[in-house]
Amino acid sequence: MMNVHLMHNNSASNRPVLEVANLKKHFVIGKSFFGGKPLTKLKAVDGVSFAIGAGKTLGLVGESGCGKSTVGKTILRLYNPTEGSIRVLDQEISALKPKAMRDVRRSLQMIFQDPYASLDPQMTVGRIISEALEIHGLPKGQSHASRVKELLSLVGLDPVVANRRPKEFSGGQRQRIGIARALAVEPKVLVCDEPISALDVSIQAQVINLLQRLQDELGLTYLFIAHDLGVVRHFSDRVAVMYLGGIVEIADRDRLYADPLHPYTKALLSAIPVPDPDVEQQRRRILLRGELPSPLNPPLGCRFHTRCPFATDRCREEVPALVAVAPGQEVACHYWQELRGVEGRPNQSILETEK
Amino acid sequence: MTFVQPATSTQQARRPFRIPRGAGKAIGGGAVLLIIVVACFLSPWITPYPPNAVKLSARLMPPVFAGGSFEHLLGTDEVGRDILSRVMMGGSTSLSIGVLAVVVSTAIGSLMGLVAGYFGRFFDAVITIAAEIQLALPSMLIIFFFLAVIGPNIITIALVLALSDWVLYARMVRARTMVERARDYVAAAKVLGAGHGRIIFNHLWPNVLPTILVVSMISLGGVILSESALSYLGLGVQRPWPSWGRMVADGQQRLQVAWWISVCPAAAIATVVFCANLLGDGLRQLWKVE
Repeated sequence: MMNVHLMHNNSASNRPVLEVANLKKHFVIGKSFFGGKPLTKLKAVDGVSFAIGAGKTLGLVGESGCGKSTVGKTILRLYNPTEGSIRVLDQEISALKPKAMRDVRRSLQMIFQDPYASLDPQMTVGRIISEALEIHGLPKGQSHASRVKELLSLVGLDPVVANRRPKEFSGGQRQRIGIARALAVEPKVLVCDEPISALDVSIQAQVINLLQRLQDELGLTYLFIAHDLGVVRHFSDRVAVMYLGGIVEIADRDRLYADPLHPYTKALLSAIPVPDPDVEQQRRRILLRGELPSPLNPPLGCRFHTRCPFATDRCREEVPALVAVAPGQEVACHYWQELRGVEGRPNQSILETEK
Repeated sequence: MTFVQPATSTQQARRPFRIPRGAGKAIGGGAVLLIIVVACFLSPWITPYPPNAVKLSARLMPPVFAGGSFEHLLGTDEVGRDILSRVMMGGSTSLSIGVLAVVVSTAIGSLMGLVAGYFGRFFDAVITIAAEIQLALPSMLIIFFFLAVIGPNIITIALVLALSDWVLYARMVRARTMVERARDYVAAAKVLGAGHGRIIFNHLWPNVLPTILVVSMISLGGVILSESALSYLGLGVQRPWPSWGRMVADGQQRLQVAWWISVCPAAAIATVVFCANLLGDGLRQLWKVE
């Protein structure tokens, strides 16, 4: 079954390897003891769509609680999607039964955020990695041990560490073990859920370089979830910006960083510190007021209107659709044209024309 | 390619060696317990006298430290049976029942706890309600009832005691499982395609095992006490085979003239319970189990 997919993928290499359309994940909070109607819904992910081509990286950014990790976990079917489609190597997986899903997992793997929690403390490194081989019935016995060694050196660890336990390793080393485990089944797509945000800054670069080297060597496709815009810029081909469960802007990396169109993207980018005091003093920043609204009770209209310095009555009533505004760039804002090139404090004239 | 070196052991070796917290208790309790267990289970071969051998010429001899002779270290009873031999023999009965009861209740309780904690929802509701019902019933009364109906022997006594103890394990394991289930290594196993059985037995079980061992050590003491209480009440192992509780009961009529008949097995019970608790508490500190 896998071979069919691989061949298919090779014959049409411009087809996306991972494609997500209108993905929704709503959590039911507080269900009545006797069943019946759910009391409240938390719309963690509410209509997310994107596609990633073979060997490419999509960076998914947003602040804490915007639902970006939920997107990753739903793609892996750790959560069952409420609605929408997930296609991996041209196979629809959003409703697959666990058994069928097991085969898909050979091409779809995940790297976790917290390397201190994602490795079973009672298992040796060798067992952690070879478990993947066992589950998928890959050749047994001696070949497992040699494959484990191979994987450990692939991620830059000394193969002799296979019989140690995770607690003997540092965060960066543990993350390498987590990567080796994910690679054991030779996946095509890796969902990296903030793989470096729990690590020391000095270690982050090593892990990023490792991920890049692996992408080059193995032709991996990454969904790279992060909140560090600098890292995402370094690492991604395309970038999607999430806010409160939805994508507000998605664009090719260079376009997004050069010409952000959504006010939220502008605010995020203007928050990146510039390592030059003169520039840092001169430049204008968009400061957002308030907090991320609760996804239990998201604002009507544009989700961002409560914090947007440019919001108008239209924003409070009408939900902006994600529209293509340039080749490879989509934005969900009613006023992206008017806001083009606007930085810093709201331009008075825009507000006046609306009123 | 340069390898990243794992945390070197030389760095750890340079620090002065400190005895980890709890190790003293665990080793002390464990060692005494081990000696007692070995002595009791080897009793058919190493007792100084056959435990049921009557010797009318040496009746009611006091222990050696209370004016007796070295011939009978812990004295003799009213028909001249050697107390030390009987305590060792009785220990093998009492300890077998205790260990068997703990193993059975651990197995049932932790399986229930794992299932309830991992699957949640329906299974959790059913098992929790079953546990609540069990707790609401007076356990001693149930034990009396079962033993009166089935008749007491080592196996039935152990099973009946296990029946009343599984709730303890089920609740503890359920709580631990719910904590472990939410951790990322379980999600990682799911991502790899691991089934429920693999997650429960390969990942969750080893991670809740320290908790189970600590609780089982502490409850071993309780079970041995319960067995003694049953024997004392005449519902335990039947005569002439000794068990600690029965020996205490038998000796009480002569407590004023020959206190050692009761006190020696009672001291054995107390020592085992104390050591099991000490071992359990030491392990708890050693493994940092809450």
